[in-house]
Amino acid sequence: MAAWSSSPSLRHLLLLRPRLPLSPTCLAGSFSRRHVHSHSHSRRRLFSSASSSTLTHGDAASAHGDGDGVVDVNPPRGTRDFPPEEMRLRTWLFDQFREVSRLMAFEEVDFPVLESEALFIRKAGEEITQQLYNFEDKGGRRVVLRPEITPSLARLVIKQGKSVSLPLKWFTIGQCWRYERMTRGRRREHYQWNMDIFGVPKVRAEAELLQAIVLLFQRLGITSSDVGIRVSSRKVLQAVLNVYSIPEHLFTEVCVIVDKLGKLTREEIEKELMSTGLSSEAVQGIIEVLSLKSLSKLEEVLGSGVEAVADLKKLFSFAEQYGYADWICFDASVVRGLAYYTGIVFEAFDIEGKLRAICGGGRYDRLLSTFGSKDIPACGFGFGDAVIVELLKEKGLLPDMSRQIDDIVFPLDEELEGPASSIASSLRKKGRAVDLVEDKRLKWVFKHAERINASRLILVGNSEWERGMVRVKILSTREEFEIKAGELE
Amino acid sequence: MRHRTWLFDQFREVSRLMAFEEVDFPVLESEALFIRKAGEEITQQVSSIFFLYLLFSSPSLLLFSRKSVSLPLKWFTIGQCWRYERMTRGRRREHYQWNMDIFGVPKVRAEAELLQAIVLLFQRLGITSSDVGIRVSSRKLGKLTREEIEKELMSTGLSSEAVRGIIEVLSLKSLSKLEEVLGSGVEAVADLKKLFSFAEQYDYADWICFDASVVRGLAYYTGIVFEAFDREGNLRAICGGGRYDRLLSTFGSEDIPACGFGFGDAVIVEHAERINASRLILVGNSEWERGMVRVKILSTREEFEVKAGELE
Repeated sequence: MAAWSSSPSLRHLLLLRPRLPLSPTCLAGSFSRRHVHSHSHSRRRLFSSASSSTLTHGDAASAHGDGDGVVDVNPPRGTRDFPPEEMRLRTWLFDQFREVSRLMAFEEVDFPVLESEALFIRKAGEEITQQLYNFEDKGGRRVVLRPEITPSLARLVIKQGKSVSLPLKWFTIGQCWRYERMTRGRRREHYQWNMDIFGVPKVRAEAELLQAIVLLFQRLGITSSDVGIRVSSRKVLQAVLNVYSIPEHLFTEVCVIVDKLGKLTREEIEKELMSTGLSSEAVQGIIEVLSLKSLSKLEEVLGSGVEAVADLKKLFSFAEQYGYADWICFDASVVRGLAYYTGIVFEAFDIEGKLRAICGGGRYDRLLSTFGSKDIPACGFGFGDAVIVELLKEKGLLPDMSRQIDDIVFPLDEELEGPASSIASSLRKKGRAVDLVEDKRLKWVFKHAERINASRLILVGNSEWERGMVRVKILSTREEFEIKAGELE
Repeated sequence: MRHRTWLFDQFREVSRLMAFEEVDFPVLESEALFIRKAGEEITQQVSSIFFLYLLFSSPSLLLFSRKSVSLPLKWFTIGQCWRYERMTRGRRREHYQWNMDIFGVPKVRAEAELLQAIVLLFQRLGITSSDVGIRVSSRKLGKLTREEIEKELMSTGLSSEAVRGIIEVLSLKSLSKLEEVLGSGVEAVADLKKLFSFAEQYDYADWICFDASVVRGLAYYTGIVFEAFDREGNLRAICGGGRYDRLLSTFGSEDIPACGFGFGDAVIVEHAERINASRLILVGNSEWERGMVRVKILSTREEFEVKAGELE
């Protein structure tokens, strides 16, 4: 059972957004200065026991600030809001994900962010399952905000049953959650682009996924001198464990420990490995193999008949043919921290070494049987939305994210609001993005036009309107002319 | 998924045409944001730590860090919303909702813009004003029910036919009759008159009608309220919204005029499926710009383009 002290259930009263039209209390932030009280900075939380069925209304009243200060205008700890500019960046990034997925002929899918906790109980000591954003719903069911997407995907594949037509190539972009102590300053949510291939047992599948990743980087203007992709295979570790006759059931545990190579010292890793019952010989053998950085060396150590070596050789050969060989490199220390990988694993990293892994994935041929279904060969990757943006910032590759509007329609007199309406309306029906502006000075309107990158300003003034005309200003050329309202396109 | 993507693309395209900006916020929020004073229907349902049972159309709240804001703001979002309900009712626990909101425009112009957005969306889906209507009323009319208004009008000597005509067909003529009768509701009538006049100019007057029964279950609406409905009367409201000028003060902030609507993804799909059962109306950007839509007759696989306005 996950440690209760780390579960959010008794600490915060958080809920999944109920169905409501929005209204901003960001405005609460800007306009509330006069309401700030000494305790306005403390987050208001309602404490309640798991069995309580009603909130005390006293708490409710104070929580929404009746004379008591502004409601907390920050989003829940570790989460982000997306005001327009951030939203534009996110949309742009997701559009890149979608476009690459389209080029690779993948289909988009989606599933609820809320899943049964059982889907993620793996008992392999993975960090991801120790940081579940889990809780109990009103029916007493243990649920979780998904920490990763692959199990949901597997669930959907199983649900399709016999009607599923392999191979399946699916992608999704969804939000994932974790519950972590905020002292580490890390986020509790991120969006993740996932691409998965089901029903292709051969290395071709991994080769396709790597092409998708490289395509994405290329579209963003990133090159193989900025970013690399380390590749290895779980079968390498499997081969080593076979040499030392280590039991099958220790495999995942060993993988999870070995994944911490970058985060713990060699001594600490050795200690953890020993504590699983491995002999010091085996531990040494593992550590040695993991430090190999050339495929030929690996072949020497393990022999060329070993599956791990054959798979990796095949992958590198594909890489040459796809034209991305200069992006990938063999690194035996890559095992990735998820329990269910069974074959090739990979992760993209920034060459300057400043950032965390940009994306990662691998083959997981035996996940479905852990859900009680028949196994289907599968492999995929997850690509988060945060590190890539940091990288783009570093490299100065963030696109210009300003707004873009076609027309601003501005009546110069209140009595022209009607004609302004019909002009705006008919332009919108013709597919033009139109901002109808009123009750502002002309000076503001010009500034606004610049801010939102409008192409044209359409002024509805009395003297022109009397003749059935409007005045159009092309903002880029400063050209100005009159035109019949009906002839506006 | 393809259908959902297509629907959301329609939401986004209409929002773009209306020059709204997209925003988003965490699906997980502090409960305090949704708790209101006792006595409101929504709080009666509050009963667990992690979910609030709320009506489909309650307003949700957007929290941002302190930034200076330049009004007016025109924001939209498409997000998943949740509720916890006993499954015996057979209702869903989540839906996606397209929301459009305008902040900082105190005049009826804002409601007129929102209604144009809704009508544009319907048109793009191949839905016409004979399929769907939008009921409009105003909270300023007070709690007068339709029956009470009818009664008042009849007491002036009008026939029940004439009364029905006044109430169902929002026109300048009927509005002045209302004005005579409702005295204290004058501000409401002025608002509605203005809205109707805008509707003529925007060219969606045949979509809207006055109906005092539009109450919209939420206490914080302060002015015009509206909801779109299926004229065959079968389905729940397709979307709904209104003005809520005094919500921010309940959060300890200064009030800002605001109005908006929420448009769920479920009812509209049921509706579109029903009326399009025999034909598939595809609206692509290039056709739309020429004022056309593409119609596919499912039985014969015949396909042709038709002027959007001439869809039968």
